[in-house]
Amino acid sequence: MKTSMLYLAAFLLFAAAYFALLSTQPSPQSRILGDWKEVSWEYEKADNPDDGGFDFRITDHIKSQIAENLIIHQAEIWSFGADESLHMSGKNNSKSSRWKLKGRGNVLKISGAEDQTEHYKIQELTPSRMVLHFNSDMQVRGIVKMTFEKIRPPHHDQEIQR
Amino acid sequence: MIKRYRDRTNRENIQLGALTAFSAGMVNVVSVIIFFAFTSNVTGHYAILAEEISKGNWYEVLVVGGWILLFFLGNFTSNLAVINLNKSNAYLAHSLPIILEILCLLAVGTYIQFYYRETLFETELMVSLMLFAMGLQNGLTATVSNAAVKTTHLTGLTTDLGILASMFTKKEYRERPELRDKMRLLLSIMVSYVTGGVCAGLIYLRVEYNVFYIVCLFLLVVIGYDFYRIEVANFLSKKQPYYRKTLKNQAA
Repeated sequence: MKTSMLYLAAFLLFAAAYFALLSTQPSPQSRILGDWKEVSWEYEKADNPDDGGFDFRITDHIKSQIAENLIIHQAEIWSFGADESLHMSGKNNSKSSRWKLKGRGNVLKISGAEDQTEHYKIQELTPSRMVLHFNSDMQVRGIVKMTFEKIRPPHHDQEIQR
Repeated sequence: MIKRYRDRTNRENIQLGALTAFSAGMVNVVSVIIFFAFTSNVTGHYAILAEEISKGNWYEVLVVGGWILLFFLGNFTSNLAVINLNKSNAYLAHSLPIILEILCLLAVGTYIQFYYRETLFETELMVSLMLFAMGLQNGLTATVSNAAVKTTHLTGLTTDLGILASMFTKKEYRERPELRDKMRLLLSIMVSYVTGGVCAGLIYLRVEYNVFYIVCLFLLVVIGYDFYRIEVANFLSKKQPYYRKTLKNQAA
């Protein structure tokens, strides 16, 4: 009986501490809110590890080809809203879609028009920087790394309370 | 199938291992498709936990740590039921973890069907419930089979298979029946797990979240089989003196 009570007390104490800690941490769902600006598109890895002079940067031309059929095509500023709306704007165009997070907050799902859905791996998500990876379908060097900088935090009324 | 015998036969272990591994494979693949998270293998979660700690992502550390703890809690609950209820009601002791697992999976399936809005909080909660369910199942199968069957522990299974395969290069080991039995058991678990995963992937395209109900049906077969055997054995021992004598002789 004494052992059972000890087990139960330890469990309750642990659970209380766990949820108290969890409530103090901002979730990825709140960290992603706001406006993000695309800073760079790069190849995640070089073809040949001996190729020291390999240029990881992706040119605008290749970038345009890779993204041609994607929802994110020509997007430069990504605005994540608390209502799960995603507004993407470029030099000459803008479009709206929906966003959701999956897994432990490490997968960004973007849904566009006509049931088009794309998944991006969130490699890094800090208050000021976001790095997304995705597998390009084209015969280019596999994973593309997109880096963003936060240019505007979410409005107070937009912030999600976990 | 889930009753704890002092001397379980390899056939019983294969039946138990194959059915539960099939359902574990299904659950794992469906969770990856819907939630982008594994729910029946914990080794990967330990690696992710270490990665998130190194990155300083404390929210993710707590989420993944919580998932691992729920798998632990599933194993704990399963064995707790067996060791506490075994004397008073052996069938209940062994079927309770599977009943709890069915309830967890039914809850997940029903929630997805009617309420799921794909928020991160919901995803984390569903994955938690599924990891707890897989812990329950793994704990029970390991307990009743004297640790011979671990349906979601494919790392250990592949290790054992590799070791056995190398042992079978020598005739003296190849001819030992217990090692051949073990090889059959491990292969049946591996094939069932993969088959379950493939089936879930294919079925999901047609029936979506209903996969969870199909998994529950498989688990019902596991507990139903034992119930049937116990009822038949009871009936025969009460009504048929010849069978009672035979059963008595078998027990001896």
